[in-house]
Amino acid sequence: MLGAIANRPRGIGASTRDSVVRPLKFVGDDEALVKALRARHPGAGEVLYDRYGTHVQRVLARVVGVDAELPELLHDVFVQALESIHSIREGARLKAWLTSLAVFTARGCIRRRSRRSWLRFQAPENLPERSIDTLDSDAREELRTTYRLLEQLPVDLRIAFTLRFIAGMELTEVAEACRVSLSTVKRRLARAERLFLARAKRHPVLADRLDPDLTRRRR
Amino acid sequence: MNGLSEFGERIAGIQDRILCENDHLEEVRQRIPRDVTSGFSRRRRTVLASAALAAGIAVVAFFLMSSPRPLTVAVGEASDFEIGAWIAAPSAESLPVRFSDGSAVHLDPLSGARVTSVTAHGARVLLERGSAKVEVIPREDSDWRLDVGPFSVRVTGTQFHVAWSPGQEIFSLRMLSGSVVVSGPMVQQGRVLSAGETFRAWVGENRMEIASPGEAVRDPAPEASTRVERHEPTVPTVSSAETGRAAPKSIGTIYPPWQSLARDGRYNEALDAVQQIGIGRVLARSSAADILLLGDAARLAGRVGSATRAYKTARRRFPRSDAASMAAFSLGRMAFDQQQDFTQSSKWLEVYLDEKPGGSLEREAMGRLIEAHTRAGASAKASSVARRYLARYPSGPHARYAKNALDETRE
Repeated sequence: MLGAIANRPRGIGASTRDSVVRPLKFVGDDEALVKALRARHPGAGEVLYDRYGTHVQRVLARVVGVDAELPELLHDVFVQALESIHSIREGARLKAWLTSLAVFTARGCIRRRSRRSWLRFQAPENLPERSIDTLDSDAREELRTTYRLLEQLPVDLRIAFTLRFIAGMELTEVAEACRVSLSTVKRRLARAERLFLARAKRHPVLADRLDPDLTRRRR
Repeated sequence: MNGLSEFGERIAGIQDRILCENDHLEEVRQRIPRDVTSGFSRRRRTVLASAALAAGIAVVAFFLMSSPRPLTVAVGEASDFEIGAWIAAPSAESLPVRFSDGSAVHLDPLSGARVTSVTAHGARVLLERGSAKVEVIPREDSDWRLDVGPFSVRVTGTQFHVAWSPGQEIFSLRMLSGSVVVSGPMVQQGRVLSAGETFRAWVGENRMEIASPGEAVRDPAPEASTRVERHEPTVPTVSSAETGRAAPKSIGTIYPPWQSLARDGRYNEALDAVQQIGIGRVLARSSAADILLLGDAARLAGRVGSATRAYKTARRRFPRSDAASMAAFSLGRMAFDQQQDFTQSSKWLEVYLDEKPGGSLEREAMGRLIEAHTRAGASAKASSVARRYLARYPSGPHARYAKNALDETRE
């Protein structure tokens, strides 16, 4: 079903010469939205962004961390989505498809940074986020340490770990986003969990969070 | 699993708070509609540009493949090491930094260093604090350099033990085998050191000594058997009484307990001893050197509050002294390493550079200042310092980082 998209309606009450063309807001489900995007209906791109901008931003933030490059990555995902909208098989799977695009955009970013890391002492993802001043220092430290440890994991393990534990996705959703089988995801998660916990135990900030019982016993 | 899920949920919550305050959605939305129409051609343009780039890369790769590969580095158990990353040895054991040619730098407990570059023939290591045993496997084309405070040690194939105390500005190098060339303050032209020799320098005092094989240099004053070379200062200096920095003490001086503990690296015990006396009383009555020592002990014990108090007291009680400048540098370093407050760090490093132009820690302060500005997002300031750094230290340990900072601004 194709939603209601008006073709070049004129502004109400405006004269012909001064008229402003404003596409009506698209109304319809994901399947209809995909058809509208394929037909390049005006306004469809904006609806796609309205509907999934926040979700995509969150997925990127979970995998890469919140940093200065986030807006660029978000932009890349949507440009890519609009360019490759013809490749989506099931319109109803739009959200999962966008999630996967976001995951692979994030993956590219992480790999690019690690390739460039020999050029610099600190990768841009470590740049401090200025607006986190309102957070308490414990939260700030916890976030920084977590992503510093995640940087040490191989990229595919990091992605599986962040999607499962930080984004809170189901195993099947993680598998679909990473375009791998369920058993591969399980293997990656088991390895990622082991590596992350081994490293986290050496950081007092995270050790306390991950194993409060252990901390109590130590005290 | 439950623990990790709860932990992840918490991390997600923190991120959401940041995203809430830092809403990029509207900013990106403004660019999306334009890209719907023009974005299609972007990829095609990119493909053409990529093809041209790939051809260029292929040519460069051909030359790169035919040249030898740089050494690889492993720190402790980890092999995923990043060049330039801060390496800190734990408090109870040493940390080996191993290179693929068999060479190694064993950082002593609580020492900190960075491997600033690696080539096929060697590496450049910056020892920022503490001490290390260095073992370089001798080869014809070896090219190893160790930067320690204001000193630079050129190594061919050798074993030695090196130490640097930034707080007290004391450098020491004990040769175990082979030879090195050390250069820096008082040895600008470079001085060859051979097996068995020990070199020691008190930068603040502008004094150095070299002990021949079989002679021991005792800490902190030279013995009669050692050759002592007193260098006249090239710039006017203030006396130790003015600076508050204690002159080197003679052998047999009995130090008050907390100072001995701090010098032995027993920082927590030293701080406990200070607490017994009362930190306010100690700070009010001690010399500048002791206050800096207390600040360093607190910093190395991770007690940022006490360290800040000590350094700020040194600046208040001994204004315009070497100790005050040293305290500014230490505050900058602590904000960088321990608090990761890069804005604060750059502020204090700038104070040090203003107060001590050409000071013994200028190179390190400028290098760190470039990093601090970069990490605080102040790229224009980082470029400005990077330009100054390259003009003054074109082959310094931060030279590559400075060039990179300049390139990024140009982009």
